[in-house]
Amino acid sequence: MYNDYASPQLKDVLQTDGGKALELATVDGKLYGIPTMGTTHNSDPLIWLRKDWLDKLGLQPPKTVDDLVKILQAFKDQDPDGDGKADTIGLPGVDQFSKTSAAGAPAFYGYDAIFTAFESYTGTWVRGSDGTVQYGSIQPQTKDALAKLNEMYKAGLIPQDFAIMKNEQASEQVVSGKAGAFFGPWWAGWDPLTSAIKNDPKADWRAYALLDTDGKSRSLQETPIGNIAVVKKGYKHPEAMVKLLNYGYQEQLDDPAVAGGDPYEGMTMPNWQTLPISFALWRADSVILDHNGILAASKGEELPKVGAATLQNYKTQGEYWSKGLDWLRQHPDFYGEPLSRIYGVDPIIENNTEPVYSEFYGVTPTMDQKMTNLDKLEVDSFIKIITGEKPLDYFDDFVKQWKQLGGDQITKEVNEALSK
Amino acid sequence: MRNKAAVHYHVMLIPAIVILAVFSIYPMFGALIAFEDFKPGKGIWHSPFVGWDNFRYMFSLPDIKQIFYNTVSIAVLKIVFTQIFAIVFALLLNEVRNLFFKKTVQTIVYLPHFISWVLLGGIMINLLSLDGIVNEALKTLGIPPIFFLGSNRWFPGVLVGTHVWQEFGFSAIVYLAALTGINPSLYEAAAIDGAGRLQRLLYVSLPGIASTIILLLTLDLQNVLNAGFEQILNLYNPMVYESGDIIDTYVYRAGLREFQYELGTAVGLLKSAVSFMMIAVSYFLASRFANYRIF
Repeated sequence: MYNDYASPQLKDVLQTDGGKALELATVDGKLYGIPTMGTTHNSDPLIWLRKDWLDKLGLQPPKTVDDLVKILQAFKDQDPDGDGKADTIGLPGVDQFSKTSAAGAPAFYGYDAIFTAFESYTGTWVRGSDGTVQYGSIQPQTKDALAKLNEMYKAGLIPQDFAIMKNEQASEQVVSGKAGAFFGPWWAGWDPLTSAIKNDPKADWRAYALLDTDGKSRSLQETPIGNIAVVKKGYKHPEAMVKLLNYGYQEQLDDPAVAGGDPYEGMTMPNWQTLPISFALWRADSVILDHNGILAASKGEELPKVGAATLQNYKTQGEYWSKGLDWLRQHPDFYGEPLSRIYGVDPIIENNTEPVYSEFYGVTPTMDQKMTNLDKLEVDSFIKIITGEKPLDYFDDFVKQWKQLGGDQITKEVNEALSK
Repeated sequence: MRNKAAVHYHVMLIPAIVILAVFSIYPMFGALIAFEDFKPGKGIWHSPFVGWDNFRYMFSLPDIKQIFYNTVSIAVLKIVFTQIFAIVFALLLNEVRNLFFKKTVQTIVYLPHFISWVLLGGIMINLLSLDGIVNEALKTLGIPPIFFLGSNRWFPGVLVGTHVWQEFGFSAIVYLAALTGINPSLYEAAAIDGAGRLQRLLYVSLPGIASTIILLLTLDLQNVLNAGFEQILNLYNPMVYESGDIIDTYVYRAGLREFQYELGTAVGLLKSAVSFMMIAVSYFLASRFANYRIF
């Protein structure tokens, strides 16, 4: 029924994530509903650094984790803000420093980029070399990542109480100028950087992607499916839902005039929550698409084909960007979007970051009961290893415990669910 | 009609009763979810009935014993310390003669009650972190820094301490009001008999507010399974799950995984049942031993 009634544009949009969301909403070959997608590259953790500090200390932008460690050490010891006080730190800390199975995406300020650099995908299901699906957190690479984090902790590059900090505290470190480096997604320009620039307009924030040990760039993605629009069984006109979504598409992503007028005329973006079916539609590739659009608009080049509202935004942001970085820093309220969309997305494109998905996004019965506890065990063990309270080999004990307390059962269930 | 005038009093009550019925009594039927395998598509009335299964499931969750222990111990400590602090404070403030000072202090101690924990959480984290003010002060005294928010030894103390600071004001004001109700001739009689200030406090003031103490304790006991979800959610972190996880925070994390309405409702129902029992017990004890009646 989807195939018959969905407009070609709607079908296009739902393919922009490579068809992943549709795939997840399909059981035994039947599509159970129309899904919202995750946005590709939306949460890729990048390392944001103050280029002005790098220049001052004569450092090159980082390519690997070891490069980053050297930079953080310099930031901490060599007084890059030139005030004569030892008040600069390495990385700010946050309590969600590694993705657990409950989290939908890598957290802001989290140290996921370091885990990923060692190809340790915590909280995710990965396909092992033997063909079965295994849990990422208990793989041996995680041990290497933890060793590196322990090193950084001992060198004082990670705060001693990183695990009690929440997002607000980490943001404060950045805004107040104590931290010149932090892990964040491409959209960090809005927050905390807008406040950081208000505080210090001379800061030159740039984003970089860290390469894995094999030289490639990979990032854990957010969950590729969100809400699903479904129709009650036995409803007389199921195609009405698809038609409503077609209409929603027209309103949000295309020309409202085609849909018979824009009820939200005068607003920059129609509010999807007030549409008949409150279903937010966007293109999963919007991160890169918008980047290209705004870059093109700033240079006066041809713009990609997008909806009216988005097109307008390209022109506005492109104009701001063409005024140059200095103008943007003087006008912090306009700083956030262009910086994020250009500098924030650059490293993803330059390094051709490969998106990494979990093999399994569902929930099994034992997961229901025991996963919260296993997550608790995992985070607790990681913290103990990073702070040095337990030696590195404690990791092996943790793996044994994890398997015993339900991990093996859950792994079995996941593999069974996938083989159906 | 016994008294024609009484009719309009009853009429005035109608809006309140309607609100109570619609928002408090009717939703009680939702408690049924706790006994069902709830399927949102089928609704409350048509989901399959599973009896005590959800409760059995709740008790089979790993660490449930630790969680219950945390909940009860944190709550009891909070209740006890808040009341002790409030009583002592009220007794002391009662002795102050300067009325302006008294009234100002009363208002100030009451204010923290209104601050949301979303805000307070951030403030406390700043104050108590390893480079926060408290640890700086300890440093100047030569004491090594204490990891208040990251150590299972200190975290319950932080919870109780900050809660006492926030809530003692309310109880203190109630006690102060009760203290003014004590017949001054009792104080005079005691003074004539040779009682010093402290003795007057112990033998006249305290017994005088005994019924108020019991009232406030009764009101507090029903919260014994609540233990302050908002506060703990904003202050805790993975390092202190062991001592800080209470029933509500655990269910919150477990429920994020899948919309586990049944677990949440079952837990809520269990807590309500326990608090009902606690009120009944404490009211019975109060009416027996302190001659106290609400009805």
